[in-house]
Amino acid sequence: MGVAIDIILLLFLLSIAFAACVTRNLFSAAMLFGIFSLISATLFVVLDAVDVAMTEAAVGTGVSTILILITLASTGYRVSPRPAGRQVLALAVSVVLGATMVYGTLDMPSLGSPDAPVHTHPIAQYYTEVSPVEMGIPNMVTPLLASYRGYDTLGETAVVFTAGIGVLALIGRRRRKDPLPIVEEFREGGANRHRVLRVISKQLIPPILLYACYVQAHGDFGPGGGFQAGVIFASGLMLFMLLFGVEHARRIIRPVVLEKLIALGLLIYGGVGLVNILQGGAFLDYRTLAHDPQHGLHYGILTIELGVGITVAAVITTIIYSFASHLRDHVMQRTLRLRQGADAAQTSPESGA
Amino acid sequence: MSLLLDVLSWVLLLSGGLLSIVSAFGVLRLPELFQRMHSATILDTLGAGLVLSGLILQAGFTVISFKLFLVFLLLALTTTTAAHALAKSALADGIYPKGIDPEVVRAGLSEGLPGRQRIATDRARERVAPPASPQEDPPPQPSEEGGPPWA
Repeated sequence: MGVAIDIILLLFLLSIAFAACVTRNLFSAAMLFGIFSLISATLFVVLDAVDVAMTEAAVGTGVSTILILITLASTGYRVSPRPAGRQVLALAVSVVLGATMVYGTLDMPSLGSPDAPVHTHPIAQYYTEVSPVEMGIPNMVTPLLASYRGYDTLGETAVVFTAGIGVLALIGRRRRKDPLPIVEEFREGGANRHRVLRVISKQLIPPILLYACYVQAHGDFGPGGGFQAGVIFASGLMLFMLLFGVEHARRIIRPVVLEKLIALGLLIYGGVGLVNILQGGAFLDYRTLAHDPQHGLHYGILTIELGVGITVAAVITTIIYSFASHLRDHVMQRTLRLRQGADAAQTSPESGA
Repeated sequence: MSLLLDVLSWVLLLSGGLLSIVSAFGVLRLPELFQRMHSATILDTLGAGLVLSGLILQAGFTVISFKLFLVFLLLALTTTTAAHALAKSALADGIYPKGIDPEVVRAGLSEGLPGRQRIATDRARERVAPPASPQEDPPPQPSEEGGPPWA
């Protein structure tokens, strides 16, 4: 039964990917990518990787689809036809790369096989047998991610931090000498006229944010943790921005605060490590945080997860803000130009229509 | 008692499944956007509702059935809202249901809608049928209300 579900979901994925390649309308392609991510998330749930599924559903289906749509809104939805020579070259490159990857998977052990290196390596046995006793944390993923592999996770958080800084450097925070006058239609959010959509979606924002806090705090006992909580929180804020416009969202959670939060999360993570050193332990050795080493581990893991959550939520919100503000500037400039054109045309008759 | 519950829940599950298949056929076979949407929303609300109630009966008085109820609530709220938004966007884009006088829909759409949506509606109208006398419409006025929309 499980195999049948896997096969059906994989067939869905294949056909959606094919449709996304074939379609000439970039709007449909963006929607297809969103569906692709949703089905991947379902596949992750089937594979018992619920925390990965949460991230995929929030980032793949929610955030990245919106980012693609924002980009398309300023570039246009049609693909311009390419010369045939380049298409053949692209096809050849894809076929060679795809064949290499398929060849690589031939050496992989089959799914769930007990002979797989993951299961036979002594370190896996150590993690599964010793970690519940040593850590006292029921969800094995969290101590692995936050304590045994604490350096890796610090590196991942730094990668997220760098991504946020990169987007800010490229398209964020342009302080204009002469800020554009805000066009009245644009001051209101996109959904202001869709009353039903606005009223219903508004009710969904608090549960989403609450759920993000739950996922953040519950990481020790169930699937979840800082990364998942961060992306869910950011997608809740994104829903607010979609409903009421980036102007209002920026007034409620200011970009200046977000910039500080991006750094704060990483600082919390690194700061825990420094405190460990000051207490006489090694970097990120949480056992030094309390008298009882197990309590110290719990405090340390909760604190660094909080740091991860803050950084991830702030970075994703910053990226969405930057994209949306970019589009807003683009649209406002266009509208102002059109208006100036209309004003100029009003002096001559018969051209207003 | 448990046999009765079991039978009832299976009846609900099977009828929900049947309804899903029917509405999938509808999405594939019905000729026009609004009819296909009608078919799809049957699956979203009634089909999912029947399946979820069947599952709730299977789960009994537990946390699981409460969670299933929450899922049902979420589906009932979001899918109907999405269908409403979809239909409204289609109308604003100049796609009208068959057999309904487009003038009626257009009149209903642009009535009381100042600002951007009015522009979109007017644009859609022009795309469907170029206006005979463009001077008839007043130029689109920017909205006057400035308060925060969540108030």
